Amino acid sequence: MPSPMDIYKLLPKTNCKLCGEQTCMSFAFKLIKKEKKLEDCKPLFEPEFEEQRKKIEEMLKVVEKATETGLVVNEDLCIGCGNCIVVCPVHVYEDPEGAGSGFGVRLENPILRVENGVVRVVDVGLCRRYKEKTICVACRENCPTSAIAFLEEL
Amino acid sequence: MLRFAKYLKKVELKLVTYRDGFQVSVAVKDKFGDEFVEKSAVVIIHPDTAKTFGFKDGQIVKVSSYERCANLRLKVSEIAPENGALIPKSIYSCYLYSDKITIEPTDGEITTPNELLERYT
Amino acid sequence: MMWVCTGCSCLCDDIEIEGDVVRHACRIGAGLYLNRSVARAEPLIDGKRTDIDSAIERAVEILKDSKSVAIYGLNNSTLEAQKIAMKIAEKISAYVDNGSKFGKLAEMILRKEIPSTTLENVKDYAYVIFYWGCDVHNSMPRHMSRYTYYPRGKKRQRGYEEDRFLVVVDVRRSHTAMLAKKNAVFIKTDDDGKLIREFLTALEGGIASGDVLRVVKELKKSDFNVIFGGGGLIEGLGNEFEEFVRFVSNVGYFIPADYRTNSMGFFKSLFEAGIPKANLEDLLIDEKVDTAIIVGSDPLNSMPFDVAKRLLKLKLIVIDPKVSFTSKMADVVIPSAISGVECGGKMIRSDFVEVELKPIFKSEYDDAKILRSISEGL
Ligand code: SF4
Repeated sequence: MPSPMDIYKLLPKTNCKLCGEQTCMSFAFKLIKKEKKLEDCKPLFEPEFEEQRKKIEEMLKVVEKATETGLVVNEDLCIGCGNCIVVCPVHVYEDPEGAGSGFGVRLENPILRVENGVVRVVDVGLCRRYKEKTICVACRENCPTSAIAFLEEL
Repeated sequence: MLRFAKYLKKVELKLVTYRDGFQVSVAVKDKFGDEFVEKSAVVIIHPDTAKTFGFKDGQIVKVSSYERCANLRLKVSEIAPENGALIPKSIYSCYLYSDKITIEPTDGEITTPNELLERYT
Repeated sequence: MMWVCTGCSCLCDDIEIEGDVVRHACRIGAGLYLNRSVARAEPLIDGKRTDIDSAIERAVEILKDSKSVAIYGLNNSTLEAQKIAMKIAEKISAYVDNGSKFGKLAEMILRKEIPSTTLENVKDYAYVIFYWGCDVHNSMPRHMSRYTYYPRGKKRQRGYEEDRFLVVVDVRRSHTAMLAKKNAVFIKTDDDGKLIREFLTALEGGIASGDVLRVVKELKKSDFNVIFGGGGLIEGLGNEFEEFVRFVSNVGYFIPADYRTNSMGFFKSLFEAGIPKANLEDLLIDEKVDTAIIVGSDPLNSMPFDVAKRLLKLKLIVIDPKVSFTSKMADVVIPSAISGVECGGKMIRSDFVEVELKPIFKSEYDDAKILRSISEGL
């Protein structure tokens, strides 16, 4: 996962403000949070920056995989313990007899579900970060193998 | 180019073994596949130990106990005890079984289970 | 279709299978099902392909010619198969061992010498939850989410952060230890006996370290606390169980965290048959056996080199669904079914609750049938 610093290093670093941001650093931040698009940085598309632009595009591929709530799952690191499923406050509220009680989640479209031994994002529409814009980190906090991450923390 | 690795001293560490869930899942699948080697032929040391002795995550090391040795991939993680080395339970940890093991850099390839099996007979 | 997972002794019974999609099982359990057809064993005599019946016949011949036999494994076999193995043991006076070190504690639970309870009760009532010398996040991945720390239960409705207190004891900062955050403590120790004595002192009002005192304070808030002990605890205790039992009685309950799928079933079968548990490693060192039947186990993947080397000097009969290091070296290999996936029966969960398996497929030869044929042949 790229950090804003990693991206910043590859930007023109002129603080030209063409993108609408005050600094290149804040543009880097917003890129990762998907609040800005790479195309917003016009100078980067000049030939002299081509190589750097390609590197940033590579880095952003990971960011692309993140859901609307900034939740990124790395299945390779997941053991399928289901901690995230059971601690999710939305699951507990919507599915008290299932996920809330430790069983496999019984919702048709839960936020997360363990499938074939690894956690999969099914529907982030219910996630508190999406609906209420609250900063909830329950799932990430209870994953000791770092299979779950949030963009803003990276 | 000088190979600094060659000048590192051997490190003696206490051996701790553990059941690694990822390793178990590939062992249940197929003990003769590449994934088994990838998840089993591993020795994990604590970041502090790695720093002190200049080991790098991902390098291949020769792990010895008594007159036995095997080449494993070194990993650096906080799940290892500070003064020990952690090896997932498998034929590798069994082969190297002892209280203490030594770790040193090597240019060799990772030892395969079949190579280990030959040493049993 | 609902499935009972036989990947570990959690025996999770809430698994859904739809074609090639397994829901809710962890990586170990899902893999057990999905990779069932990879690396299957074939019937072999002296490394040469044969049919199953001939392999069984050869096994019987070997057993008839041996002076002293050990039956080893059986942790992945059903209670039914384990019982037949016990009968064989009685018939030919064989030693029996499953390779688990939990025998003494299991026997104490069966004799009611140490208080134990069920995982359902833990979910509903437990406040302080100890994980002592076990990294369950790896060995029994759903243990904490399905049964103990994370789920809400009858008297524990407010969730783990308020209604539970987690204590992890280990020699290293395991993945399980990393989960000890709010309302939790991780105690690192190299000396389990010493720590237990410290707890006992603190429980009686004596002096102890900060962490221990904090835990003791929490223990006093509830009359339902539980200790899960793993291999690390047993190693640490050696043979000194007295203080540990006193400690458990003060705290609440003890449940073994032995990941081996039907290990508790093995101990119960052994106990009911009145057969003492043997230790194959000791038998090998003392050269007490000349033949071993290995059922669903791979000692070359679990026994120290020096001992395993001696094992290879014996006549070896391996009964296993999959190719293993031991099966590669065996005199006779008899392929079997994967319990719970291809054959049914009963198993016993880590807390001694009996669970009926729900196999998805059928198989002609399973451990029970193979062992029965051997028994009849003898
Ligand atoms: S925790 Fe154990 S029983 Fe449950 S799904 Fe995982 S391997 Fe299967």
